[in-house]
Amino acid sequence: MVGADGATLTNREIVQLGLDPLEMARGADILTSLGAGRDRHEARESAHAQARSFEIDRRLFPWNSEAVRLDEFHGQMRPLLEQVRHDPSAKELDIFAAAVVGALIETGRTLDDLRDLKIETQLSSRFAYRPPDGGQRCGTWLWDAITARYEADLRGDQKEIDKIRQLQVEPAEFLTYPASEIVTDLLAKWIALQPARKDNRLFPFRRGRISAHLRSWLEINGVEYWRFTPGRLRNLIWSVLHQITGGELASACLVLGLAQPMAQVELFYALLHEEEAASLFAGAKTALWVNDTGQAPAAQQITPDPPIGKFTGCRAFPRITEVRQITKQFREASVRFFNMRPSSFKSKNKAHREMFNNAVMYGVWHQAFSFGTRAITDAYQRLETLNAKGFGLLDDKGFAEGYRTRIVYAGEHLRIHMRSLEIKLAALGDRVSGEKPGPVWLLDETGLPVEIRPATIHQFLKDDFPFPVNVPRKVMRYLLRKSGMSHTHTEAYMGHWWHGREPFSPSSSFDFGVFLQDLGLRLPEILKVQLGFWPVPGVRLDGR
Amino acid sequence: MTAVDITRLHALLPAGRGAAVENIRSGTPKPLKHGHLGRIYSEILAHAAPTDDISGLLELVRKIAADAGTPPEILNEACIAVGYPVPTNPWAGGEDGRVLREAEQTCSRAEQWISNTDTVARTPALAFYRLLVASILDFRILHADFVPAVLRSVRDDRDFTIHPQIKVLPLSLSYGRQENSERRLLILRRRTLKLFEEFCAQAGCTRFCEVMSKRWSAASDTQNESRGPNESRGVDQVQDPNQVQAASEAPSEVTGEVEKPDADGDRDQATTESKPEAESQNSASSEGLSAHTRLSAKVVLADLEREAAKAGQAAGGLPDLTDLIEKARVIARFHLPSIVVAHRSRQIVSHSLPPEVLARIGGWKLEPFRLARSGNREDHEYPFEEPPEMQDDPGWLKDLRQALGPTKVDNTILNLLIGSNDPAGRIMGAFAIFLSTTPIASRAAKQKTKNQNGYAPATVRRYCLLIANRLMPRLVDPAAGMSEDGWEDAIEQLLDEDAFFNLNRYRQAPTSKAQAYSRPLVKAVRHWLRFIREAGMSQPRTGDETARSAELAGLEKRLPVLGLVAVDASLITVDEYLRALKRLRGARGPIDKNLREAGCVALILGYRLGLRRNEAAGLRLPDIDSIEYLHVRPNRMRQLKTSNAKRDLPMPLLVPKREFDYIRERLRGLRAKTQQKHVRPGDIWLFSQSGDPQKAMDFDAVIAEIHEAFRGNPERRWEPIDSTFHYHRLRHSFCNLTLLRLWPPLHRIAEKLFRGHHPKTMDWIRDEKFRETLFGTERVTESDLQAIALLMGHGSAETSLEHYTHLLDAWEDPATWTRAGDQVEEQGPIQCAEHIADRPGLSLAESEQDIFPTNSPAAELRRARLTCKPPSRA
Repeated sequence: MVGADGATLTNREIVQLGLDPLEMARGADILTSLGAGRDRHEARESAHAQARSFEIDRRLFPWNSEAVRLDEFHGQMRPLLEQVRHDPSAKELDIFAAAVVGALIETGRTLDDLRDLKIETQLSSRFAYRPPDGGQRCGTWLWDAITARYEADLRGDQKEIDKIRQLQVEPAEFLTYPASEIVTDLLAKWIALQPARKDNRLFPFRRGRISAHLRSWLEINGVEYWRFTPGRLRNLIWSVLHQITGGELASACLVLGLAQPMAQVELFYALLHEEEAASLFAGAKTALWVNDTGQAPAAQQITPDPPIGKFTGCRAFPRITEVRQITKQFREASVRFFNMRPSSFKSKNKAHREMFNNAVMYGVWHQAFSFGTRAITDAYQRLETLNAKGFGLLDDKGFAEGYRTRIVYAGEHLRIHMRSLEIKLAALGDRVSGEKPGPVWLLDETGLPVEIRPATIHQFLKDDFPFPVNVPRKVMRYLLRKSGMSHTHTEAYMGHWWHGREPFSPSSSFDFGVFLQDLGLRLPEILKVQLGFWPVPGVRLDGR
Repeated sequence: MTAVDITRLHALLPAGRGAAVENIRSGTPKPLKHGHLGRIYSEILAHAAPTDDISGLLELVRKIAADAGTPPEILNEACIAVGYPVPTNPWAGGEDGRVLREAEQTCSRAEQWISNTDTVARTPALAFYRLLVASILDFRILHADFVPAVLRSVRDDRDFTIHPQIKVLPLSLSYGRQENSERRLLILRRRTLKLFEEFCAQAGCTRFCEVMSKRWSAASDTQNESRGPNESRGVDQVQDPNQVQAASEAPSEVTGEVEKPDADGDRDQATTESKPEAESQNSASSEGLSAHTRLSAKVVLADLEREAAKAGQAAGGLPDLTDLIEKARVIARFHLPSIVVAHRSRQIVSHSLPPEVLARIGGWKLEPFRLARSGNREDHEYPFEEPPEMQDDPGWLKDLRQALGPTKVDNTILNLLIGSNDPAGRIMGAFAIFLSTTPIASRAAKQKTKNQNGYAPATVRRYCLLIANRLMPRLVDPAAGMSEDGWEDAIEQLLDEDAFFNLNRYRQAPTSKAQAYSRPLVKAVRHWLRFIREAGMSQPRTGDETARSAELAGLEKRLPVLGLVAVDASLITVDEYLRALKRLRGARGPIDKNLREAGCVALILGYRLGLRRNEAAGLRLPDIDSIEYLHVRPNRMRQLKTSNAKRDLPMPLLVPKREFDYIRERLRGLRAKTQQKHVRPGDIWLFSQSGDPQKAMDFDAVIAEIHEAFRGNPERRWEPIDSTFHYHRLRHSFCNLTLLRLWPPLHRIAEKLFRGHHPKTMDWIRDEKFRETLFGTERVTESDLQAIALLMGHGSAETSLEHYTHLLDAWEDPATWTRAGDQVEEQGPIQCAEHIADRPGLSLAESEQDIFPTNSPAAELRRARLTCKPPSRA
C-alpha cells in the first residue's frame, strides 16, 4: 500500500491514517500473500497464507514459548524488581534497569518508544508519565488513543461531518491509566536520580545503551537474559490483555493505543469505552503485579457502558441512543404507512413520500442490522432468498469468487416485517408510477421509485443520520460483543476471516450449528430491546 | 530494493542450506530451476521474525530470480510449490437462496419417502436403499463411495454392537488410485440402526450384497480392460453405464432369472448419459481424492436405484441418491463442524481405527479385514520425469548414470563403484546389481514364465536414479543402521512431497496422472526396502536381527497398499500406557537403573508429548529449559524430519505432574553429573550412558525395552498389551487423545468403544480445563486442528488429519444425542455378553499413583524401614 508521497506505508501508518476499510482489506490481502501488485485471485493462491495463519497461532497460543509466561515473570523478574524497590542503597544501574523493565511491562511499548517517554505534569505529549502529586499514591500513564481522521472515511460535506460529530460517541484523543505502585516507586527512584532536562525525557539514552544496561543488570542478578528480552517483556501485557479480552486482539490494541497488523481490519469496527479500557488495564495490572499464582487471568465480563464518557476505536460510531431515536422515527412512520389504505397513497405528496421512505428504511435497516450488511448495491435482500428457518446466504464482498459469502439469520420478527413490507408495497400497485426496481424501493423527490443502494440510502439519511451506510455493521459488532458473544462467532457474523483460517475450511473446527444457535439467541433480543426493531403491531401478514 | 532488505534476506538465508539458497545469495545468481523458489520461500517463512516484512522479502527474492532470467512459468510454479489452495467457500453462488431451498426440499422429500415406504421393505434392494437414504439424512454418509463399502461390509458381516442402540460398521473406502484403502467406521443409531436391522433381516440380504459387489466389481474390471495401457483412468472420463447394464443383464443370482433392463433402467441410463460432460467433470473434481480407480459412483448409484425400483416402487418416487448426497452436504454444514462435514464428504482423508485395534481396546470379537490391493499395472504406462534434486552431481552419481544405460547395465563400472570409498556410491552400486540380477519372483509367478532374471536395464536405471536422487539426499549416513521408524519417516516424507508436488502440478486437470507419477517411486522404494533387508544394510546394533528384518518387511508390505506408506491407525489408551510404564518401573523391568529410567522417560515423552523416536533420542539437557518447555530442535548430532518439526512443547500442560516429576528427577541427576565432570550442559544427552553423560546411550535398547513392555515377554511374565506395538504408535495416540480432550462430542462413542475398560483414559480426556488452557482465551475457536498440528510438528492441519487422527467418525451431534429418546444410551457401557471376549490382560488399569508411589502408604512404609522411623498415621 502506497501513501501520498509514494512511500510504502507500514501497517501502523495505515491504521493511523484511517484509510478506507476496503483499502484496508486489500492491505490485509497483501499482508497475507506475495501478492503486492498482483490481482486478488493470484494473491490468494500464493504462497504463505496458511503458513502465516500458523505463525499467528504459534504466537497467540498461551503456551507459545516465545513469550514470557506469567509464572515465569512472577518467579524471576518480579522479586528482582521488588528488591530494587525496597532497597534504599540500590545502585543507579539497578534503579535504571528496574524502571525500564517496569515501564516496558506496563506500557507494552518498545525500547525505542520508551526513549520518547516524557515526564509531564500537564500530560500534553503523545506518550507521557505524570508522577503522583498531592494525595495520589500512583503516577499516571498517558498515551494517544487510536483515532482515525474523519476525512478518510466521510465523503460528505462539512455539514454532514458536523452532524456526525453531534451524533457520534465522543472519541477519546488520549487514554490515561494509573500506574501500579511498584512501577510508580521505581520510576520515582529513577526520577530522583536524574537531573532535570529540557525535553523532559525519562530515558534519554541510545537504544543500544539501554539494552546493554538491561542485559548486564539481568546477568549480574542471575536472571536469564534470553528469556527476559525487552521484546518479551513488552509482549507480556499483550498476552495478558489477549486473555482477559477473550482473544480479541483489537481490544488489547485499543487499551494500549497501539495498532497491531493482525487486528487491522477489526480496528475499524472495535470500540471500547474509556472506563472499560481502564478496567481492562487494571485487570492486566492485577495479573502482573498483584496475583502471583501464575495462572492465566480469567476473561472479564463485558459490562454495559455508562451513558457518558469517551470511546476509543471505531470512528464515526453513532451513540446507541441516536440509533434508537432514528429507529423510533422510522417506526412511527412505518405504523402510519401500514395503517394507510393503499388507495389513499399519493407518491407525489411530499408527506406521503417521506412516510413511505421512512417505513421502507425501517425494514431495510431492520434487515441491515440483522445481517450486518456491508454497503452493497442490492442493499435489501428479498424474503424469498431466505429459507423457512430464516437462514440465508449473503455475498457482500469479493463477488467474483464468493469467498466472503456468509450465512445470515433473519429472526421471526424480521421475516414477518419483510413479508408485510413486500406485500404492502406490492399492494400499492399503480399508485406509484414508474418501473419498480424490486420488491422494495424508495421514492425520489419526483415520486418515482429508485433502487435501494448505498447512494440512495445516503441521500435519504444525510440530513438526519449521515453516517456511512455500513454503520449497522459497526453497531451490531459492538452490541454482539457486549452481549457476550465470543470473538470467533462475532467475526464469523461480520464475515471477517484470514486466509488459512476460514471457518468453512475443511480443516476448520468451526461449527456453524453452534454459531447460528448463538446468533439466534442474541440477535432478536438486541434488535428488539436495544434498537427498537419489531413488526408494526396489528399488521397482518398479508400487509393490509 | 534497499541494502537493509538484502542484509535481512541474507540473514534469513544462511549459507549451507542448499544450492538454491546459495544461488540467491551469490552476487550473480543464475536462473532458478524447478522447485528452487519454493525451497527459498520455505526457508524465509521458517526463519522470519514477526517484525519482518515477509511479503516484501518474498517479493525481493522473486525480483532477484526474475532479474536473473528465471522463466515466468517457474516463477509462477514456485508459488504453488509452497502454497496451499485457498478453500472454496461452499456458500458461494447461493445468495439467491436457491441452494438452501432446494437442499431443504430434497431432504424433506427424502424424509417423507422413508416414512411413506413400507415398514418392512419388500426386497433387500429397497431395504438397502432406505438405509442409505436415512444415513445420508443423518449426515453419516455424505459421499457415494460409502455405498459399495457398506455392501461389502454387510456381506462380510463386520458389524458389531457397542450398545443396544448403537452398532458400528467398519468400512473400507478407496483412497487415491487404490481400492479399499481407507478405513472408516459407520455409526448406526436410532433410525439407521432400525433400517440396518431391517435390511439384514431380509431373506436375500447376503446374496444381494454378494451379487451387487460382484456385479460392480465385474463392471469395474471390464472398464479397466477396455482401456489401452497408456490411458490414465481419470475421473474426467465419463464412464459407460452400459458395462454395468451388461453385467446386470447376466442371469441374476438374486432371482435366478435374466434381468432385462426395464423402463426405469432405461430412464436411469438415459439420465446418466444425457448429463453434460462439463457437469460430469465438475462433479468428478468435487469428489477429490477418491474418484480415480473405482467404478464411477454415479453408475453404482444408478444401478442401485434400478434394483430398488424393481421392488414395485414407482421409480419416480425413489430419491436420487447423487442429488440427495449433494443436498445433504449443504444442510450438514448447519449442524456439524466444517471438518466433520469435510471428512464425511471425503474432502479430507483420515483413517479410522481398524478392527484389530478396536478389538484390543474394547475387547470386541472382530475379524480383521485386509485392505485390498489395486490391480498391478506396469511401470511403463506412466511417463516419469525426474525432478532434479541434486544440482551438482557427486562423482558416484555420474558413474551410476554412466553404468546404467537405457538398454544395458555396465557391471564393470558398477563393480568399480562398489569398490570405491564413497559409502553412497557403494550402496547404490550394490542396489543396481541387486535389481538387475535378483529374480523377480512375483512377476515370474504372475506371468507364468521362467523369468529368473532381474529387471530390464531401463527399469533398473529408473529405480536407481529415483532412489539416488530422491531418497539418498535425505539420509545422513546411508550406511548406518536405521530403525523402522526412521525409514518410515524418510519414506513417508519423500512420498508425501512427491504426491503433493504432482498433485499441485496437475491441479488444473485433476486426473489420476498426479498419483500415477508417484507409482514408480513407490515401487522403487519397495525394492529398496527389500534390498536393505536382504543385503543387511540395516544391521541392528543391538537386539534381534530377525525382529528388525520383520519390521522392515512389515514396512515394505504397507507400501503398495496405499501408494503411500499405509497409515498405522492405532491408539494406545492411557490405561495401557500406564500398565507398560509400571512394567518398566517394576521389579521385572530392566535391571540396569539407567536403562529403566531412560525407558520410562522415553515412554513418557513419546506418549504425552508425541515425540518421534529420532526426536526423543537426540534430546540434550538444555532442550528442557528452566520454564519447563521441551524444545524439539536440531542439533549437531541429529537433524529433524522437517523444519516444521522444530517446536516447543509446554510440558506442564501435557504431562501429568507425577510423570513430570520423574523426568525432573532424571534431569537433576544429569545436571549434578554436569557439575561434577565440569562439562557444558549442551554436551549432555538426556539419554546418556550412566558412566559418561557426554556419550549417548544405545537408544535402540531403550526402545526394545518399551516394545517388550507392550508386546509382552513370557520370561518376564508380561502378557501382551499390544502385540504389534512400535514406538510411533505413541505419537498417534498423543494426537488422538489431544483431539479427544478438545472435542467432548467424541467422548460418547469413544467411551462405548472402550467399553469401560479404560477409566483412566476417560478421566484423562475429560479435562474440562484443557481447552481453555490450550487456547488461553475463549472456548470457541476454529483452530483446534492447527493447535494439534503445531504440537505434532506438522506444517499443516491436513498432515495431522491424514496420518494421525483416527476418531473423526465418532463425532456425534450433541443436540441430537441428548434428545429424550437417547437418554437410555447414557446409562453406561454395554453389557452384551456375546461380544465380551476373554481378555486376561484387560483389567482396570493401575492408577498413576501405583507407578510413582511417592505418597502411598506402601511407599511410606518402605521409606520408614529405610530410615528406621515409624510411618505417619496418615
